[in-house]
Amino acid sequence: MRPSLAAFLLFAAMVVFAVIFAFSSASGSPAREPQQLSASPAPAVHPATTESKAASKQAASQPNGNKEHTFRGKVEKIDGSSGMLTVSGENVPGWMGPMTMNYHVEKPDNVTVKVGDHITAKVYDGDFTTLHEVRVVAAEPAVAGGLPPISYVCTARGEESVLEDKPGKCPQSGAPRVPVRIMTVYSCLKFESFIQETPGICPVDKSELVPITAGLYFTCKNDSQIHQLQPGKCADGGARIRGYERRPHGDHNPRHGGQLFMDEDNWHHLEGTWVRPKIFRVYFYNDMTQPLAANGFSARVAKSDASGNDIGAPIPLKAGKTAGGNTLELSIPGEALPAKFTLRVKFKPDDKERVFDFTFADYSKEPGLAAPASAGSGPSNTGAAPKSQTSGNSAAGASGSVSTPNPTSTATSQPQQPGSTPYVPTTIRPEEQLPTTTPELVAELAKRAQAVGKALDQGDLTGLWYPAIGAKDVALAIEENHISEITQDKRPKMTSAVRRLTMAAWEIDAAGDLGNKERLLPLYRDFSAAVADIESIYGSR
Amino acid sequence: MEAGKQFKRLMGSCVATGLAIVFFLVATQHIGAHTPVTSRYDYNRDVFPLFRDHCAVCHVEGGPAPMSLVTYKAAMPWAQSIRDELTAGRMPPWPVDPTSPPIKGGYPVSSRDIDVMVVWASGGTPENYTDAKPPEVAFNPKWQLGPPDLKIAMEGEHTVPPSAIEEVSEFSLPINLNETKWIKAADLMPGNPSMVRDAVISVENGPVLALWQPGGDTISAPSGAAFRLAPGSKIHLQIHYKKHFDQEQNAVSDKSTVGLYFTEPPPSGRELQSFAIDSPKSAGDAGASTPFENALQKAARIVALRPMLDRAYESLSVDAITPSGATVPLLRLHGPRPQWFQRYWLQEPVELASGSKIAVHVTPLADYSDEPVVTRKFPLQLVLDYVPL
Repeated sequence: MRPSLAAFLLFAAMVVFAVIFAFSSASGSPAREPQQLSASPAPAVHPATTESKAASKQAASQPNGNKEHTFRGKVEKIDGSSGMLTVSGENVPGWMGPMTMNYHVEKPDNVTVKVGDHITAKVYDGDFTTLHEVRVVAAEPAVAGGLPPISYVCTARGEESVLEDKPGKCPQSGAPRVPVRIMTVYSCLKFESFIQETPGICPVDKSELVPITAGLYFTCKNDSQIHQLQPGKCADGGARIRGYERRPHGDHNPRHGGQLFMDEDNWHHLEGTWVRPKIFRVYFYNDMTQPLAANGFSARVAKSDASGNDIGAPIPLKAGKTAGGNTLELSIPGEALPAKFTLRVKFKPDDKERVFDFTFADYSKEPGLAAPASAGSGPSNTGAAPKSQTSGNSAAGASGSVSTPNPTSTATSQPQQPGSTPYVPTTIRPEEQLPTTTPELVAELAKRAQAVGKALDQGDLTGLWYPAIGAKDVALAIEENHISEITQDKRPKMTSAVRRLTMAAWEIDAAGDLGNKERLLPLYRDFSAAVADIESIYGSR
Repeated sequence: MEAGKQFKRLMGSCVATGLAIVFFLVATQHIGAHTPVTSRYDYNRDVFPLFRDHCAVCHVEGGPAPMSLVTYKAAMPWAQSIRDELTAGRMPPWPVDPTSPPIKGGYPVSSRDIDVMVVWASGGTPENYTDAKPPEVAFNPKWQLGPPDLKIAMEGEHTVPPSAIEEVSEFSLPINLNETKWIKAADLMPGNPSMVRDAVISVENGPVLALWQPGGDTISAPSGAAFRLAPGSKIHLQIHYKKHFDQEQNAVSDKSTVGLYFTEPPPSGRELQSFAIDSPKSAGDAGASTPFENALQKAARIVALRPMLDRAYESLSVDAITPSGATVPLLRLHGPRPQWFQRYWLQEPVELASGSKIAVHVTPLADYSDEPVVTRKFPLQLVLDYVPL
């Protein structure tokens, strides 16, 4: 129990990030249109046939006899290239807590789903990544009065990481912690003021809404100064309406169909795109994913091989021509798909170079339709502080503080009533249970380790953490519960291997977020060597 | 508890030697801004006992490390740094791999305990899920082996001026002995623990008695092994001073004391000696395992090893290859750092025949970009401490 719980603690720690970041940046081909996982005939949805088959094969190889559970959840996203679903799952006692995760689908060719569908599936102990016998079902009734719990945060620069479950003072500034209700909501990708609690279509540019993390509060139509964490009545007798505040790192959705990474300074974010006619363009953002002028930035890019090694000398990028001045770019004629690049960036002349690896299976495509000029398309709010928004505000009318839903957006944004949307928790209390026998655990370790290698091969750098941390937890479970099954002389080697695997897994977690394949490769080497040692030890008992 | 000392020691030094990095880490604590409180481990119940047992020898108010980890308020802002130090293997500063021949002292932190601390640091650093209240932990420096047989204090206070952040100072300490003494151990009691980063205690023009680090273990030489201290000898004390970040603009002073522990003359009458094996040059490219070796000129009982490093390494291994071709493992380190130089006393001394080769393999780190700048480092070398047979 302990190791599996620890694993999911980590999963939970990353869940919001993963929902928004990992999936959207993994393939470089965001699924902005409603998609189906299936199949006949929907060839554009699962172009990576081998991946789909691999997923199917993996599912079919589930250990028979493991305990079965019923899984319920809502499809948040479909990745046609990998055949994976992003599902906001409900609590499955004894298997997994409420969590939004990527899942493989058994027999994906037989499954037809679209974003927003509520599904059920069978899941089994020992496999936390595969959904079997997926079925679309009617939506569950809304949870009456469901509100995310109150957390307490610090807002001063450098203290944004503070997030407590009770009031108190911020450690550095001494300011009181601020209560917030954090939840997953859905926003227009480019018109950030439009937010609602359910997936849907952006009323401005008709693109698919993207999930973000925001703070929920309650305000009044006629008094935007009202900012409460509880529903209630306004002075005019009407009910308070819901409003949402964006949060730092709450939105890591690529803005231009590329791959978005966070720099190790946690402030700079960048999105690499590969656009016709063979231009590598990098967009820069701050921690609110607001465009960041590239003044003073320098970058070099080199083609890279499968191992992330440069092919030829890196070439400097030039200032792009986008309106916000937040891009650097370079024309790279002759590069074929899939295109692999290693980008080196300096945010100050005397700074060290930060390395990011990009793999583009296809050209990056701008999500959604072109925005109306009057709506201020493109990066127009550089440096602006996050604005408060109420549900249903359109982009055109939401550059200021809280305002009432305007008639244009109300019709399409389905303004929420208190309690009308099931609570999507951001704090996960998983109940995962790993297999108990040594052979099952060793097999589980091998499976999760293979998933790490696969993610690395496919350039899914931000998705590496999931199987890596999962493998670490399996290894800890083996060491804690099954080391007595090996001879005394092998135990030091086992202890050494688990220690190396634990550290490598956590470092893979960190390096994956930075998108630095060069840094990941030696970590993966250490990780794989430790896994091999464990397999060798238990294979030769 | 021993591991705790090591951990504290490492943390103190690492932070002290990499203040810029530490400040950077603190300044960028917002890394977790998107991280909800997801850790099932809280500070009071789960993490505090680990910090207390493994880190508090240094990371305590008034201790050698610049920050305490034994109160929630003090530890929480360092969460990112704690995670980074742990996952990179810089903390705890005990790089002995479990596959190594057993080494005295320095108990490692288990993988599970490391995982608990990292989960907590990564998962929102919750303070308390229960009513548990951590007790106060006080800095309590003491002579580890009890009162020394001889204390030798520096003659006066040494001051590091405001213009300097760190320096290495040499002191010659007269003893005024009129008879030969045999030393089994040496220790140091800093006058100002916050500025003494490490020290080398030697007999002047003689053997190295101790490589001292804050929080490190003081180990006695095994039975039958001792350092000889002739009448008229002096103690040579080399201290590496480094100020805490909040003292950098101040003049800070120290007056440390060396403690010597005497023992009976060894039955053989032979004193502990050392044998150095120098690396021909830099250890080579990242990732490449570079061997260097030398042969013992006489039969010896190996009691301790002292790797002195020019930089951090992914691994270091030392083996003896006997004249008959047998390989005898002597030491296995994983992730040794140059700033944490120490003497590794073998739990079971190893007797080797004359002509035995001592082979050292080091593998550099694949990535040095996150390593702190270390000013205290040495040419790559392995020193064996042995008793001639």
